[in-house]
Amino acid sequence: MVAFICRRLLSGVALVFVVSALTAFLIFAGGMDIARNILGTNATEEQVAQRAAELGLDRPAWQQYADWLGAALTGDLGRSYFSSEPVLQALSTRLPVTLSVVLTAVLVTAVLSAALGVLAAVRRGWVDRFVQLANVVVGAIPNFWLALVLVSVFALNLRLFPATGYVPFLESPAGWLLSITLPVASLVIGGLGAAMIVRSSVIDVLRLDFVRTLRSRGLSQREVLTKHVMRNAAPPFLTVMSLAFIGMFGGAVVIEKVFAIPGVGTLANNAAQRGDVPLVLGVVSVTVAVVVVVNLVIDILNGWLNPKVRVQ
Amino acid sequence: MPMTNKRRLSVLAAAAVAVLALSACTGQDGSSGGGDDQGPRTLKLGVSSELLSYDPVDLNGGGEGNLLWMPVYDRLLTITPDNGLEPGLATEWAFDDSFSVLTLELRDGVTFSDGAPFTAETVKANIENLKASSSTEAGIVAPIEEVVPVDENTVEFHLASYDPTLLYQLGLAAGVMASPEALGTEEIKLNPVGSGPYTLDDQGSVRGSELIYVKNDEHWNSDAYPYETLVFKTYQDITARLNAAKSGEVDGAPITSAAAAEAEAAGLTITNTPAGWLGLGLFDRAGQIAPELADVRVRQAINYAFDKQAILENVEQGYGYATSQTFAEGQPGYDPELDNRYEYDPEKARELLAEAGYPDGFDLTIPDLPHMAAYTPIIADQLKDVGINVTIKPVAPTDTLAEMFGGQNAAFAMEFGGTSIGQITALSTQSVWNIFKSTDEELSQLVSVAYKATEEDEQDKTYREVNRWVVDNAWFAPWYMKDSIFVTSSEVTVEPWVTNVTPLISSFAPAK
Repeated sequence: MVAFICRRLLSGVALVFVVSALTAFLIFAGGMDIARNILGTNATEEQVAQRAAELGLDRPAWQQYADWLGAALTGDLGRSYFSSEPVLQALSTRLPVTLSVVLTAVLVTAVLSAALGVLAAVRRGWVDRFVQLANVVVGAIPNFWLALVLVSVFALNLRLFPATGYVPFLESPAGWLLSITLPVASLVIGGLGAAMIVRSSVIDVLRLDFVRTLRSRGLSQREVLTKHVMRNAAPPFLTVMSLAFIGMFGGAVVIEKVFAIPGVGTLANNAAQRGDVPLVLGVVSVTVAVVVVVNLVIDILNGWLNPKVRVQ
Repeated sequence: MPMTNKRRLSVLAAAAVAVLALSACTGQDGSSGGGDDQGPRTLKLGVSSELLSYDPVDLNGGGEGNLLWMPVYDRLLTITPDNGLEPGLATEWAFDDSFSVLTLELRDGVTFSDGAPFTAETVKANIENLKASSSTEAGIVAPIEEVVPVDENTVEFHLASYDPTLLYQLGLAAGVMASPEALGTEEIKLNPVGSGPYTLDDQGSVRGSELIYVKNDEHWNSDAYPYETLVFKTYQDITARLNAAKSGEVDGAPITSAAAAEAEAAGLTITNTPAGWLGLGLFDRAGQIAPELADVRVRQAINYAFDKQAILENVEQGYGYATSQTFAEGQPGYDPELDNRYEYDPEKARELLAEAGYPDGFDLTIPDLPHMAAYTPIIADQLKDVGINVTIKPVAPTDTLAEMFGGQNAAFAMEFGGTSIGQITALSTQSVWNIFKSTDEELSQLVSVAYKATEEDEQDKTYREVNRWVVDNAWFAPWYMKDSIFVTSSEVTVEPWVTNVTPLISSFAPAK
């Protein structure tokens, strides 16, 4: 298990390097006039050249990346070209916001899709058909559209939730819950397809011989399901959940915009458009690291649930 | 024990009740228009973009930025909503007869938020700091050759050349005064050190999302600012901004014309004012890359080719008025007769093209600038109708500025705000907006006379001459003066700032 974790961590670190290098390459190869973006339309060519020199933008791309990497390895992600805000500080205020929305959404998705999937697999008949049909319908709804509808109904008309904004958990737990309810609901909708995975793997496991043996020994349906079937049906479900997490992390960019949530998606989007290199590289690297860690946790969870995984 | 259906239902019901109870106990503070714990005198405004830096050299006069930095920084002069000038940190100002020295009498007893006093030396430090920077605004103070503190409260600007926009600019970013100690530091980008009517609540604010300003009761003009607290929330997305206004989460916000009908239906008050002209800029007036544009008849034909009123109705929902001039109504130099100078007449356009030697039209390339993307197809369509074959060149968002000011395009869709004198200075070969450095002797003559006009009547008369020349020679093809639209709740009243996107912060007041 330890070797497994080490291997995954190492490949994770390599991934961060590769992705940050690719990002840097894309920014510099894009030929964006970053100094011009900082100074605006009225600046003269000399002013632009002067600012570019100040920021070191006139040096070769590889050298700029190497400098960034060297500093980043010592924990210094630099400062934003535009606001001078330390990148770490920007991330520390933005990342928890996005994570609290996305992780809650993943959790809700996991619970809902597991419940629906098991229900469909065990009950079959009209319940199963209904869950399947609902899944197709719900899966076709784009999350930003749903977000707009939810705001219109629950925030503007019924006034149950705030239409926009985010309240930190520490400031007001109740306010936090209310502020993330609609964004989470919009994100969850995209992940409910996992119910179908749960359904099919539970059906598969229910057909196995050991389930019949367990039943013949007098175990209740409930025990068979929770202690044995779900545990065996879990691996594909966990894999889908880790994909859902990545998907929702990306989808958060749109949802953050609709709800004006000060998350990392908005930060990355704005930074990329302006050409705020330190901020873009910082956001990308840390985001990749988060994805790597979450996937690792899910892998470990998988190994704990299913000893077969640990052996490979 | 398996959970029965009944129990399951009751758990769900309990969860639903809990959520509803939560929503009740946190309350919908926004709808009160004021605030919860921030006191009754809180003004919450939505804006579409964040302020990236408080460093005076990073500030500029355009867009919404004013709203975000004007609360924390005093300027030498104060601009009024109709673009007049009032005392700011300077109480009196006057040019000498030769317009080579500007003398400013300074306000006594002003201190910065770090405790430093405001003196003539402070003005010198700020202007020199701005001049030495690579800032956009450095060009504005470049004609100030030397700043000479005469005594504690008097300062002279010795000018290398006279710029008629200087005084107005001293009411904007170029006139911002910050504590000399803080100038040039990294820290001032994040925390302003000014003497404005408000100070930044650094702890309460979340950069890029919510800025909170608290009133500075020591301010010399404190009475002009009725709110104890200002909160600015960033909503990049227009739908989010409108939703925030509709739900009462903000008391006011700038919106687009497309959202105006919805805002009005929701009971919000709409305040609109001409913000700037929109149309096609015809920059290659000497025909360097598009030889056809060298002929004034071709440029006039292009002016006749646009159905301005139809574009205004369809794209801007009628928020604005059709015109052929770049000067806004009510501003010096505006000539009502010029509004209809090139009324939509495709037949006349074709005639003029034929006269100019292009009976079968010609080819013209227009860049598809991302921020003007809605207008590019209209240009292509309307010009095609009179025989000009437009090729649309795709532009990546990051190349926008290079495509606009790099001299690669003879003409492109543009929106240009600002005062009347701003329209005139944009004609100068020094201006980035004079992309191909077009010159004309007659125009230079008219401009130099207009520059020297200081009295209102004189300005109106001389600006009008410039205006008429530019319209007759079709240096641009304006379609209409576009309105900026600001919505407010019933709790707030506001006066618009003519030729600007947002009102001045001093123009907001609680509704009686």
